[in-house]
Amino acid sequence: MLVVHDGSPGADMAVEYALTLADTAGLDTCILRLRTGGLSHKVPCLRPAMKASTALSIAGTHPALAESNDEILAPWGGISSILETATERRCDVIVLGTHQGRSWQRLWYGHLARGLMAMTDLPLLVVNRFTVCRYA
Amino acid sequence: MYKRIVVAVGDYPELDTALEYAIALAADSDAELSLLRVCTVPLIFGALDMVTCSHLALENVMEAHTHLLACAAAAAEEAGVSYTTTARWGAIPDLLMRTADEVECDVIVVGSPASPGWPWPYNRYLARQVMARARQPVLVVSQPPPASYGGHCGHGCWWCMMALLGQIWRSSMP
Repeated sequence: MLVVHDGSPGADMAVEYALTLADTAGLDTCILRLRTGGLSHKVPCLRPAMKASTALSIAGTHPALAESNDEILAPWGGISSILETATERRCDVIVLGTHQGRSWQRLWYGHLARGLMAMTDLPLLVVNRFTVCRYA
Repeated sequence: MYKRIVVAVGDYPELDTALEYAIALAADSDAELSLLRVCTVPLIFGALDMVTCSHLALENVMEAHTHLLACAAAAAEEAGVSYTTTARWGAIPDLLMRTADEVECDVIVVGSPASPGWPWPYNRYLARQVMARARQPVLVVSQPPPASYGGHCGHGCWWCMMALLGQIWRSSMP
């Protein structure tokens, strides 16, 4: 299971959901922290670094995942990086968060899910911030 | 792992893929499957020359809807999955999300063809709508599950037909 944290508001929920699911079902998990080096790093309200630290703290509670985390600098969205990592790690599913906020936020953060949907044959598990983890 | 899974049933290839995946997932995780058939009236029913015979055509449409739902239910039954069937009138994304809320499902399975390029707005309309608005996790699948995870449903769906055609083609090769 490859969990993608792209800094979007729903990404923390996706990480938490995926880790709980992995604990329940005994799945191997790899967290991919995606740092987009484009406009999002220049605009403070879109900067994903703060959220990535949250993902790390969540992952820190799962010691088995300490060695499986990756961080990739992907200048233009990182879809190819995600696909390469999924192929290298032979993942069965890609988990990522999505945002259900205003239209411009959906446009900004939703491109990753839409791009992955078009480019990969792997199943995508899309989690949003309303998702309640029932397995905890 | 999952307790309730919702999937839409239809006559599109991507819906067949989603159904096949949902059945395999439900069989693997011992979950209850909620099969939703969203009925729609074909646009041609609004044409002037269809007014007098539309009720006859509508009966055929309803039979087709019932047959599709029965095929899906038979596939689920064959896989040993407990299921419930629902048929509703309206738009697929809205009713899929409403049904998911009502049955308190754990995941919604939708199909989406992995084909970059035009016409992407049409191809992935359902997946994009559900992904953007659903309150539950959404599993987007573009291929049927691997053979080790359930395989073909064997009920004349698109993937089974393609697999059958592939077998015939391979057997005809020298």
